[in-house]
Amino acid sequence: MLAWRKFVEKFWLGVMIVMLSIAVISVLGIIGIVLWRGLGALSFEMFFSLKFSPVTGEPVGIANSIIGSAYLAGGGVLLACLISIPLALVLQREYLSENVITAVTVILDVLWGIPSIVYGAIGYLILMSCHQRASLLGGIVTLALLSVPIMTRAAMNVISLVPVQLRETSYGLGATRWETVSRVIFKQALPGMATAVMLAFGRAIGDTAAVLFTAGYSDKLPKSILEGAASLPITIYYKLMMPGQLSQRQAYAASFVLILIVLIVSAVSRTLSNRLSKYTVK
Amino acid sequence: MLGDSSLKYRVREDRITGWLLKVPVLIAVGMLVLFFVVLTAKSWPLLTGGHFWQVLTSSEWLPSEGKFGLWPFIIGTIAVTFLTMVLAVPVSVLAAVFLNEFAPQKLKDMALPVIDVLAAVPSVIYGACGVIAFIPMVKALGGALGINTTGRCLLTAALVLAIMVIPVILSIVRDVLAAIPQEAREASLALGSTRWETTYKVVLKLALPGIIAAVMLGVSRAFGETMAVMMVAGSIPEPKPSLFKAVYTLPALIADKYGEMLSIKMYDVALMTAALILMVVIAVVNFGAHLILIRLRRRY
Amino acid sequence: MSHLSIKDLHVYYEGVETLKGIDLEIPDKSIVAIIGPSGCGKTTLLRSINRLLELSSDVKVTGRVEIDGENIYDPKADLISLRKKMGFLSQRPFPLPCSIFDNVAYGPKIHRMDADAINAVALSLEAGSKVSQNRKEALANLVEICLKKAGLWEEVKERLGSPASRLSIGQQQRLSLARALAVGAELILGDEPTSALDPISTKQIEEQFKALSSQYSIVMVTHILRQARRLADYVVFMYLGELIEHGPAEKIFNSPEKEMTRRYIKGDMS
Repeated sequence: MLAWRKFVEKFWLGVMIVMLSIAVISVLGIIGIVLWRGLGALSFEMFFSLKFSPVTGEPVGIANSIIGSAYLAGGGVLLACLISIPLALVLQREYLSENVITAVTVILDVLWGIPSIVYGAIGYLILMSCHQRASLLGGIVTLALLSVPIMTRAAMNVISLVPVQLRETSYGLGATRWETVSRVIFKQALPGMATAVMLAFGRAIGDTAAVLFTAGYSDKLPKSILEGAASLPITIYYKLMMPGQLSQRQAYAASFVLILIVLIVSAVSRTLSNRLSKYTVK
Repeated sequence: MLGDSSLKYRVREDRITGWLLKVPVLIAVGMLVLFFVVLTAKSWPLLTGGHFWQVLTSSEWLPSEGKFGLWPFIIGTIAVTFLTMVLAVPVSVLAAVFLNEFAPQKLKDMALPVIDVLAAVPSVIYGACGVIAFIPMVKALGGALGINTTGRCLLTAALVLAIMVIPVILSIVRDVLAAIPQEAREASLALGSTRWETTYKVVLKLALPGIIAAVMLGVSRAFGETMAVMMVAGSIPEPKPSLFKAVYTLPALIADKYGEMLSIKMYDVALMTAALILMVVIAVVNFGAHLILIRLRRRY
Repeated sequence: MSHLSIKDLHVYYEGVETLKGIDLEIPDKSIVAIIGPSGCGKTTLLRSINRLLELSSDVKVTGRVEIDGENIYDPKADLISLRKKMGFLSQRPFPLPCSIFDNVAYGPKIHRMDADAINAVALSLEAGSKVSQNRKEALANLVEICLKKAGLWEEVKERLGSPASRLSIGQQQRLSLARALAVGAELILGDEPTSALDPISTKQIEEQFKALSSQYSIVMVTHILRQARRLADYVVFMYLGELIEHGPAEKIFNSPEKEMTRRYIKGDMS
């Protein structure tokens, strides 16, 4: 009897280990394949050259996409910060009732879940109604909209971890709400806020569907904010579908760079939250 | 009195910032309202006059003749999502249970950051890998089974999506399990249960609502995923989905056709209807999942 | 009736020695109270007896904990059968996620006890109790006896099928006791089992302990001296991971040998 029960346990333990192996191997495998192909496609020209091939007239590298992506995601996240950080600060009991906070939280969660293709479609509708073509600006605005719920929810989590005593101390010294929120809570939550911003940046730079119609595509660097810009995910998508060795290599290299950026962003946000938390109360 | 004017200034500052800070709240609420109103207004011609039911159930997709049957795309999206979940849920839930309940601390410390990073890898990367590896694999598999397939099909799409959502579900389920109080396990173990019996009869039972919420969030990810599906699914509308046949989903339809819509009458209306359906379904699923998770958090 | 003895038990938490060689014979059929200031290792000692200690943290244990001569730390030991001999009450009671009835029946079901085994437990709890060859009836019988022994039967007999989580925390703790009795535990371990309870529930648990001590050994950790005075037949005093003094309650409370014990009893040290 006991032997049977122990056998059942061993059996399920085995099944679980197999499942974990499948999860780890398949996911790591996928990234491994992309990294491996990307590694083979890397060269100095691929990264840094903005020249065009004399034969096809196409760019020889992916520098335009890297810079375009940096503009798009950087701009989008900066714009989103202007909304998200005040929003996270105001969603506290100081300013709003519990019911309002819960309602806004649910709205943010629903916004977070809306697929990026819907953001893209709506971004495009907005552009058209302003008689604009797809451009860097359109991409930045769409990515900002996409980032707002992500960044706000992450920032809210961070703020909720601020100890109550800190708040009480500040009010006990006669500080106003604004002084407490801006000098004590914000400062305490700063490391986590940085992580929230990085998280949103990682999401924004990898999102394809949102910029598909809104950011346009250009082989050159955009000269103004109203011109179209290339981006890494779109480059991966287009070039992978195109025949020709150069296109394929560019797609692999772009994938490599994109994964690298996501890895770096998550590593930096980890160390950032460790480093900056030096001054915060535990 | 000393400091009287400064106090006045501080109070005024507090009041003004209090009002200013409410602007972002209006923006966030306005976003959802705007999305909903814009999509509804744009798809209004197909929502009214008895068109809507026909759009939902008709399999005729002939835009040049003004026939916009979304059924193949709806059933395609459902089929991809369902198959994805069949593949991903057992793997991610059991892997999460192993990591939280059985794995040694060292493995936990190693695996959890990796899973977090994997959950952040952009979907276009998964799509790219689908193109590189999975399409030829599934084509070979079809060949071995005597089925003629291009490799761009339902099975490939579901495989790629499954691998994409595994880290997402895994990490939420792990969080849910970690939130279950240690006393629950001790109560059962102290009566002489094996670890598996404790896990199965106590831990999983307590975690069930959370696991359902995690699966629902996975469903909404798979349902709305655009790029990874578009790159590997073949994009041919099929009213009857089949493993080795191409499949076309709602998000892929929007991404594919939105550029060419202007020339054909009503095309944009049909695409916006697709977007509206997508948004409503996902909003409902997400809303449900979050309600469950919020209630769970209150209980512990 | 099982006999528990602890021999040269050392426990290291992340490299720090928190139990420094404990030797202790637990007297049979009595209530043993482990007392001492917080952080002295009394909970660690208790939780090392049924090896729940190593679940939640990184610990290393050397020495022996013997139940009827069998060392629970022997790698070949049958941990499951040994744990079955020891009922465990935690600080915060935790009802298993099922009905009141199923909570008590959980152990017998897990261990797949047949009608004879269930009857045997019932008879050992109450000589001359009803027996039945039908497993279902025998189980219902046993559940009733256990709930009566835990002093909960009258309060819950009308709603055995309702979720155990709806019980008050004091009722939940008595349910934990019934749950432990149902597997045929012969030794009851209590980790400050009344610290989360109100005074009335505390009194009820204490009364059940008193009643059960004619038949069982009960080892409980408590930080309330008055509770130890009220209940204990035998007292173990610990300080900073060491066993300072142990002996019959009367002797420890009235004429302790060690100065440290005397100061603690007087309340100079908390």
